[in-house]
Amino acid sequence: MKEKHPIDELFARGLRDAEAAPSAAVWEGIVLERGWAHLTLLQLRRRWGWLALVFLLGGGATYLGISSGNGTEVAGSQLPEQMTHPALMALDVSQTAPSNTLISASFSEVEMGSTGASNAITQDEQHSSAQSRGQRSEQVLVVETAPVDIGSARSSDPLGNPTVLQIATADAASSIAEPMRVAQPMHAEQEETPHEKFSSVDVRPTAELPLVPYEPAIRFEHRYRNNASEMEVVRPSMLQIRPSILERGLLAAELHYGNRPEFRGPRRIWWVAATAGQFRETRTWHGGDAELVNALQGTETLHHTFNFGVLTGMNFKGGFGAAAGLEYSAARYDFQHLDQFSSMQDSLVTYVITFNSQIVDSYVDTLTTLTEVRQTVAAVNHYTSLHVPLEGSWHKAWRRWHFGVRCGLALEFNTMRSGITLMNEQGGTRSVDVSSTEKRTAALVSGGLAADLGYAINERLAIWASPGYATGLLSLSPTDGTPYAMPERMGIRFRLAYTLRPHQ
Amino acid sequence: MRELSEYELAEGCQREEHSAQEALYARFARRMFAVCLRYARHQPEAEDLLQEGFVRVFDKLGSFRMEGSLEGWIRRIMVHTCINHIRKKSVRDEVLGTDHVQERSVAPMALSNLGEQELMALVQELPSGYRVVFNLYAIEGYDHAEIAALMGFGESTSRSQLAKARQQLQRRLEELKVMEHHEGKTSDR
Repeated sequence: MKEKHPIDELFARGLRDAEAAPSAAVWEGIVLERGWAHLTLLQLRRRWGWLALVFLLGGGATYLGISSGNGTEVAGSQLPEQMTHPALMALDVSQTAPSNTLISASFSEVEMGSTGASNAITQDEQHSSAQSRGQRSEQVLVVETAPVDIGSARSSDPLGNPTVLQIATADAASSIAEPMRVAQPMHAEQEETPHEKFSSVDVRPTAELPLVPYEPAIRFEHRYRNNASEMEVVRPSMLQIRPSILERGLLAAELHYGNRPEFRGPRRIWWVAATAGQFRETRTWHGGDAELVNALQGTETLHHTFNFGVLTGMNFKGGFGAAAGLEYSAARYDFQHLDQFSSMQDSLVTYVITFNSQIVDSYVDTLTTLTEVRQTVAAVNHYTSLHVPLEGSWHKAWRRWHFGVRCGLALEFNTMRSGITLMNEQGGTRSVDVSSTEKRTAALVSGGLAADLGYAINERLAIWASPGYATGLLSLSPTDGTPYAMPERMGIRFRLAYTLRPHQ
Repeated sequence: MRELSEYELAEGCQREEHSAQEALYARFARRMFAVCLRYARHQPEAEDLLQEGFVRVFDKLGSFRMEGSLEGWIRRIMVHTCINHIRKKSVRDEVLGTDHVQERSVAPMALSNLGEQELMALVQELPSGYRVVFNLYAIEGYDHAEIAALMGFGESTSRSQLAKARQQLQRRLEELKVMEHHEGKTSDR
């Protein structure tokens, strides 16, 4: 029970039904805000919102199902330019091109470690020097090895830990004050390659420390600095690189740098998709009998078609693609027509001439009655359409988003399922049930153009929305003057696409 | 000429008929503007809320099921629009530190003569948190559980905000009473 407070009552009594006049600018603002763009978006949301929701829910559920089965998949990696580099796959570290050099560095470092080389790290100095140059990125791989007494080259890191060997990028190393530089090309041809920044190793001896027992261990640190002011350090526990994996990585690196195979992305990618869409359709009638065509055209109304189907296609390098499939659409619309025709009825009339109850003569005559008929016929017409589309497309990817255009041709078989159509009658046209007509199916070729907007849910699944326009181009029906309808559609088609295993 | 019923207006708006929308606006704008004024700090803000609210009304009229009062339905949308605005604004004001800007104050006058405008001004003097809770509880008739759910805080917060709002209004009314008494004495002389 709500408490009654005198203050509440005072204000409720005074303000509950209060009125105040807003300025005229408010209504103008409402009209402006609800412009054509607002109304179009609203209509899209009202009409197609549920369809998008179904796709999003389906896509989300599929994504969850897939990601729970394989959590290490990298989204959007079906794109050629985003394919994980083979050398990196060996280390299971998802990085882009600059990280390739990590493998190269580790290879030479282990070599150095095995020969007993040691050095010290002055990481802060290196960091600050690189920072002072505004260097955009830096990668450091550190391998700790057991201390090996190599005389004066014994060293430690600033914390007094045992020997540490550091290999830094040449850019970073070059700015370190007075390093003892050991030029050590890892491979003869490497000096001519973009990877030559790893071809030198800085060995920086510091003050000698007594040799202490130390368990051999390998420690990796990977640093990636996004800008001059911040640096993220990935700790060994985060990388979790096991020695066996390291060996595989080294082998991959050796293969990469030794034999120098060219990395190639997939040449083509197959996909399959389920489609669903809605279109606003109008039809234009053509044919030999102008009166009948005009009458049929008069019965046409703007209506909606719903379609669904399957598509399969192939995406090539450069963003081009081709697709084919099978789609089924259904539509219904209100048919209304004012029948106006003359109904001619023949009847036989028998004339008998009698005289004094005797039949003198008799004859039969035909009497023709002409009746003007005017009647309004209303019905709901249903028709379906089977499409075989053949489409070409071009897409551009940006992160998980894909933008592009598609165009194509489709073979269509339109069939009237039920309802009313028109036929010629003397003095006009009349309505007849479509079940009584002979030709209920018409074949035609249509052409379409659409914009494509896609979102990669993961590396396999993508959801697409394609607002587009299509129109009938060519009738394949016999040219005997029978009227036929050419459709014109505008609407949107959604596609949930699944990318198959890429072909190399 | 016959005046269109609420439902006829709503149907016209659902068909996006401009004349129906204008008629609906003309019928309810004044009352809804008063609702917005109670939640807003000043008139321009209330006009913004009214505009935003009516845009939402026209957008959502398709979901009106022609049951119950159209005015009640529109009023709920307006109140929700105001609350959403205040919730967004409170986050903004936390950053900008502009929550306690007092835009207007009521002129001292006799309590018995307090009209809509004066009461409105008193409500608008309240800090936004108090104002919303007081409006929802005292004028719209929501209970504390509903207010808590709407505003995203606990029922106890709603109770305390209401109590503080009443205290502040009481204090202001007493000040006005004193002024009334003082003015009465002055006029006796």
